Amino acid sequence: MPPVVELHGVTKRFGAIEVLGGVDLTLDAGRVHALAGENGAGKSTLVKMLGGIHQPDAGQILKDGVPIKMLGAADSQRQGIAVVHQHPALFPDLSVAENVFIGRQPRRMGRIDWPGMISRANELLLRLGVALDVLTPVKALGVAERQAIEIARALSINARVLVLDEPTSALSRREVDRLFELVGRLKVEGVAILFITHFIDEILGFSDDVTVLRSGRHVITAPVEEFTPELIVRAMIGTRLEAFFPKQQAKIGAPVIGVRGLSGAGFVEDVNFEVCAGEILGFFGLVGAGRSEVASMLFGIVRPDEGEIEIAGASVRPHSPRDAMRLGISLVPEDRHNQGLVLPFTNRANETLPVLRRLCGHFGLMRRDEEKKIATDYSARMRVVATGIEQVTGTLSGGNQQKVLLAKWLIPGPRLLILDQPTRGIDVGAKSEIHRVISQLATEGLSIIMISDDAEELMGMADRILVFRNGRIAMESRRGAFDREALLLAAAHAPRSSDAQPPRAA
Amino acid sequence: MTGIGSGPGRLARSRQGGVLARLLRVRELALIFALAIICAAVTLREPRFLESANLEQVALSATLVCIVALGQALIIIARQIDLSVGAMVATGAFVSADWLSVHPHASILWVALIGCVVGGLLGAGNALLVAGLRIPAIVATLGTLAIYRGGIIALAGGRQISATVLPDSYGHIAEIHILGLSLLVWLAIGLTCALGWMARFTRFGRNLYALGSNPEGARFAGIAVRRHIAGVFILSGVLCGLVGVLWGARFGTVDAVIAPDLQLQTISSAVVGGVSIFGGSGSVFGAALGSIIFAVLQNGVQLIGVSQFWLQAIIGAAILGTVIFYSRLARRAERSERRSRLARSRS
Amino acid sequence: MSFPLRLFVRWETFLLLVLCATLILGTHVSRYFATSSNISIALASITPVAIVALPMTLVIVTGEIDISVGSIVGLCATSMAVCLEHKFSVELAMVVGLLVGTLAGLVNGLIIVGFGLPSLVVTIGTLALYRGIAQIMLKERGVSSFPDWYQSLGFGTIGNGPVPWSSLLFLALFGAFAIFLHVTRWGRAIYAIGNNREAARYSGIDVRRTILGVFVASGAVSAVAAIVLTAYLASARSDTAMGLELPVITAVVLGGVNIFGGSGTLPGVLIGLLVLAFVQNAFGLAGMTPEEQEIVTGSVLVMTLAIFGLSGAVRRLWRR
Repeated sequence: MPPVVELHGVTKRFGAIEVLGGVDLTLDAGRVHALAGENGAGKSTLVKMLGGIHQPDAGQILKDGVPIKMLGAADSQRQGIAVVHQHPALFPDLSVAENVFIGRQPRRMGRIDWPGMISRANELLLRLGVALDVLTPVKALGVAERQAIEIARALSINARVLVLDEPTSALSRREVDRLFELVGRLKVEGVAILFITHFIDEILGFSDDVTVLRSGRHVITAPVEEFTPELIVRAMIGTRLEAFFPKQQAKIGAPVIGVRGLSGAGFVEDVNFEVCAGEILGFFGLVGAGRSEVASMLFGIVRPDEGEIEIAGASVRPHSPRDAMRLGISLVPEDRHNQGLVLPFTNRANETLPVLRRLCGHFGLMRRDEEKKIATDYSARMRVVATGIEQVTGTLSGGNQQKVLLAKWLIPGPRLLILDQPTRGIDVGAKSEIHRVISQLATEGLSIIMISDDAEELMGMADRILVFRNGRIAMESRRGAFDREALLLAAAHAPRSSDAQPPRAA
Repeated sequence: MTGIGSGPGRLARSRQGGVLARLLRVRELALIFALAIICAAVTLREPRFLESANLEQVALSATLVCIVALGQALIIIARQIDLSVGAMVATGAFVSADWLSVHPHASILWVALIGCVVGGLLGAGNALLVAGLRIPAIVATLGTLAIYRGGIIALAGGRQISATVLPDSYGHIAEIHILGLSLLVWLAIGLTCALGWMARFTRFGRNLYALGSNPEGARFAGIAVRRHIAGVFILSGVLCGLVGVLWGARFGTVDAVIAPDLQLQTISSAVVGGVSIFGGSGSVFGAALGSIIFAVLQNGVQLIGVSQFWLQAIIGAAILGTVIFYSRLARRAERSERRSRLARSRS
Repeated sequence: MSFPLRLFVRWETFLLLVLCATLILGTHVSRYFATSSNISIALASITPVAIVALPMTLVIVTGEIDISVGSIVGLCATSMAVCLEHKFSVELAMVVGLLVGTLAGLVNGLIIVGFGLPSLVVTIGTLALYRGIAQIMLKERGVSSFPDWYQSLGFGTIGNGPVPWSSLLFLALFGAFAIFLHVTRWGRAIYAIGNNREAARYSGIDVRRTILGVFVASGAVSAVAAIVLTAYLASARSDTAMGLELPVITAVVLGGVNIFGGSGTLPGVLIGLLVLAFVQNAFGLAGMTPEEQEIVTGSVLVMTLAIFGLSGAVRRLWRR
């Protein structure tokens, strides 16, 4: 049987930059093909080509052995290629059913056949094992449910190729399992699947074949059995990494911040913990388990209903991010593009945004020299790779943007630094550099709360890990006693007994 | 959050769909309710309000704004805006009346056609700027507002085309009655239903909602975004041209400065009628209801004998009152949604 | 050079070219064009629009819009007229006007920030409301009992040169606004909010108070424009400055401010205003009525944007 889709020597240039250079890729029916590579390796360009958004400058796309040309998303759909985007591009005001069939609504006698559309949408969701009221507007749904709708959309066009563009980075563990189960069913039905991800576990555990790209070039394609994690990483970055997480041991001092009986956001209940100087406290848990909510309460974005926050012996109540900053708290938010950075600003303007007041002289006039000096200092400390502090942040790579964001929140000189998913969606090189910085900050006596859903990462970095489940702390574990399985179990698995007695780690 | 579909989620979710569906119903019911209250209040003070002659006046004055508001509503649903409607109506009215004064024996259908074609061409001008050159609609139509209005003023050169130079048959359009209702009113009802049907039962209509709700997503879903935006601007132009012809028929006299505030009236009608200014939600029926409410307010103020100087202030207060009401409503729905979501995740 | 900066420079150079073309065109239209009295007329006639354009720039950069400025100017003019009718001194009337304008802006801001409503809709509502209040106050009366010195604010020139007093007032305000927007931390906050509201909030910027502030500024400065406009017209009526929002927004957009917020500069807006002033003046000298001049204004706006849009489209095509 010939492959469903083949890419032959596909090349794409934007201006003078060659984003893809002569890449080959083969997708077979009933097989999951994982595509790995650092940010900027050309993965998303390749996805957009399959989705009909970009056209190759050279090379060919073959469908069932026949060269095809796709000039838009509609063409690609007609060829039976469905793309599930990282952030599902759905229509929040429209119902589930309409979202599944948008642009291709079933018609009868020239008009949209609503009853037919509803029953077909129901059928498709049932086939995926998803129970949703198809008349619910999508704005009422979560990310996982939205991805299920995109997959239903793929089913509705009888897609023979399903492209999943980093589908799991916005999902919690359990939702990821659920997604893989759905995709597994399609695989059995003979759909060819292209799967793009940053998570090496997912590549190894879920795919049949692996292709690695590096700076727009094809590096290797082989069945998954021939790979080990080290092999994939080496192919991605080209050189062998010393260690994933270079944690330096820091001296742990006195408690800096204490939280007692924190409840709120309609959800978080009775959370207690302390963070000491020089300590890295890990928050582990699924998305929506309460870890980010606790962070936003500390940072004054959400007001707690109950509970006490104590800093240096005094009880405090931050009402706004500004209050929190005054108390010496910095938060590197999870959503870099929406909450973290002003992308059209220069690195300088982004980094000094929280401390504008401090950089002002009379009448609110900015002291430019001082601003430049601070921005230059911190950019250098974070090893931001840019043409300078005047480069527009939006033009940097994801990893460098994250470094700018980190600089931005170190400049206020915090006592407590909260990092919400600091390495999500960035490439391996930048990831290990950010880990180095975090580790070094701890040795300088900073208290750090690090939120992540990558257990491996926390086990490498943290001195202590709190596991959140359903708005409560389900488990606490100290360095030396970290057990990956226990962490995952505590986060994802409710105990049998009705009272929420947290299962202690050994 | 319960995974992507566990058993108990199902019930909660159908309830939740109910909340939003109810919200929509509440919006249109609240509008009808508000309309009824206004009518009742006016009637209490001045029973002549309910006389058929007066009601017909109300209906007629609602008609013209209503038809333009239908197009405006569809444009806003597609996350665009059209500030040039008043100028397009004036142009359509003047050009068609001018042509008729030269060809007094021509069929009235020809006049209507000319009005629509003129409006359609002006709408195509907007479409070219917005869909073709990707100039934001609010800016592009701000420019064409000036161009179209200035153009027709220059063309008219201060002339007025009055009933004396127009054939009687023209003015008669406004006096044709079917089943006791003026032809103009029937036309508005017909167009409202037709466009309402289009918005719900054609791909074009649904795609307008889609691209208002998420323009980027619409592109990824393979919807020809630019063609749809162009289409809806041309549609609005055609409706404006038609209204221009009806304007002349109703008032007998046409000059270049008619309908100066129509863009504000139609946007207000749509917004008061529950069309979200951010696109993606609302209906043409709501916009029609909105225009009726304004017509009743205007008539009521005149009838009760409140000084006409109060009218603007009352209209302004009505707009503010409704949008504040809607935002409270939406916030309440959101809160109950969040609560049910939490309840689900706890279970 | 960074991308937006490059864009700005190109926009600004482009506008300067348009301005030069206008000036050359003007001198060809009429020998009278380049005289100092004509220049002073051109400047004086744009000044009310120019003054309101300053806070409008702030409002639009923040990502909001204020459609009600014309009505606020009308309401302030009306309040001053009512004061004069009650034989108050003109100084007191000016203070009342300023207070009314500030209050009107505050109401706009409070509704927008307090209820979290889109400013386009709210200010369409207050456009009707403020104009309505003005009509209730003054009905169809006109008031023109302004003292001579007051009227010279509108028309008088400095030392009988080409620069009107009102332009000096504008320049002072322009300097203050330009410094505020481009050199102070509040200006930085305004750009941050216009580009990414959420990130601004996470950076400890008080988004709601800033937005409230720009609307109050819009109301207060509209009152200043009302003073200049009544002086220029030597009268105040309830329909004063009807439709003023259109030329104001036109000038701001022509000046290169992104209608969706986040970018644009006041020097750009200044050039945009000069282009508008001299285009209208030149075509007025050529014998066009003010209404017909609207074609030119609209065409300049649309053509400027279209040429820019077209060059973008061509570039995209070329890249393909």
